[in-house]
Amino acid sequence: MTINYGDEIIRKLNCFYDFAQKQKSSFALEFKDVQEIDLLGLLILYKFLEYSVLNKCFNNPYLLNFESNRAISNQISYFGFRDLLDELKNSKDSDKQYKNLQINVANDFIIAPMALLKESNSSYYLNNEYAKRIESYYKNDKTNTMIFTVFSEMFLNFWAHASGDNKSIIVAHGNQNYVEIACADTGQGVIRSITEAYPNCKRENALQTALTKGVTSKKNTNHMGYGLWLINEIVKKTNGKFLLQSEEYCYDNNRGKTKFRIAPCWHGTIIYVKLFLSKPVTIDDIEQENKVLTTLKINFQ
Amino acid sequence: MKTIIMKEFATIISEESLGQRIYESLNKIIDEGDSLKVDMEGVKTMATFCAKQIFGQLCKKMGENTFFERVAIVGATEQIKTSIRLGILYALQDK
Repeated sequence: MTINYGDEIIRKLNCFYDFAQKQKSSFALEFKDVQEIDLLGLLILYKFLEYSVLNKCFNNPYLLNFESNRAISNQISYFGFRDLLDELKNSKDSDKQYKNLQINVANDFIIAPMALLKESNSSYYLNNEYAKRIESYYKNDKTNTMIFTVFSEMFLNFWAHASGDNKSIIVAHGNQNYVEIACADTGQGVIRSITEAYPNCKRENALQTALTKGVTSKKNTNHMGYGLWLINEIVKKTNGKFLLQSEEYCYDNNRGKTKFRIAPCWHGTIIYVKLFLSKPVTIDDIEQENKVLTTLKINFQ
Repeated sequence: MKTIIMKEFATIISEESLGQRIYESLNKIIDEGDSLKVDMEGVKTMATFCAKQIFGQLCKKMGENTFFERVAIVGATEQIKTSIRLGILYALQDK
């Protein structure tokens, strides 16, 4: 259950959508043969389990060989999903557990699942918890700037298309070689936001539109249609990975090789970014050829 | 001339409500007729959204020439300067 098999995970589990409010009995998920699960796999699995609880899909479902599978249970603890899953098992809403940031810095740093709620104190945490811990871990100013830029643009993108509580969560993991950040929600996805804002835009073109510089579904606001484009450009220049999935469409940027494709349906949006850190890139590197910017006579001192 | 120390608000400026507070503080000084110095020393990142929200809207409201005359921005990193330039450019392009 890793990023390379993201489509398979979603395809296997998106039958959950058909079971909403049906309280299906005798349902079991078998984990015996799962050999590996990564950050994105765990996030997708968790979001489907959460969906099944909130939408009363099953009556006393079974997760077979879930806890006893070392590959899974180790990663659950490592990425900080333990309390969330325990909450789900008790069929309670998990907001309480993932509202509060947990960050661990040892050999790697982990940002455990955190809710991306507009009214939450994410900015406080970003400034007072993430920044200090991540800065002390990486030390290189440019590396930190790149990481904070991607975090900031991802936050703002999820807030932009969130209407109400979309159960958006973010998790992150980093080591000295790379950082990976994953966000997922189950609300109004990018596809719907774009096609509502641009009625002539076909669904199959909506992700491409969303990734176009200067195109935003929030016209006449402070949104610039810049964040997703910027993330994509940073990923291209650092030979990283960027996955944007909404409903039945997906965009992949894998070390600069890009592809728009049809994918198993996800009700909401998933963004996954993996940044390699050997040659960090910031917004001024991306825009260095943009001569229009230097025509502004801003009084920088 | 009045000075606003931006890091007293935050060193990572990436949230709408924070951007709104900063805009209101800057706008108040401008409305009182003073010139403004914005000290960006210590600010690590400013999301483009916030750059537009703060500097873009201020520039749009004041008019480009007045903004360039009365607002000085000191201590910004190259990354922050680019975000501010983009924020202003996009705000001016809005109808």
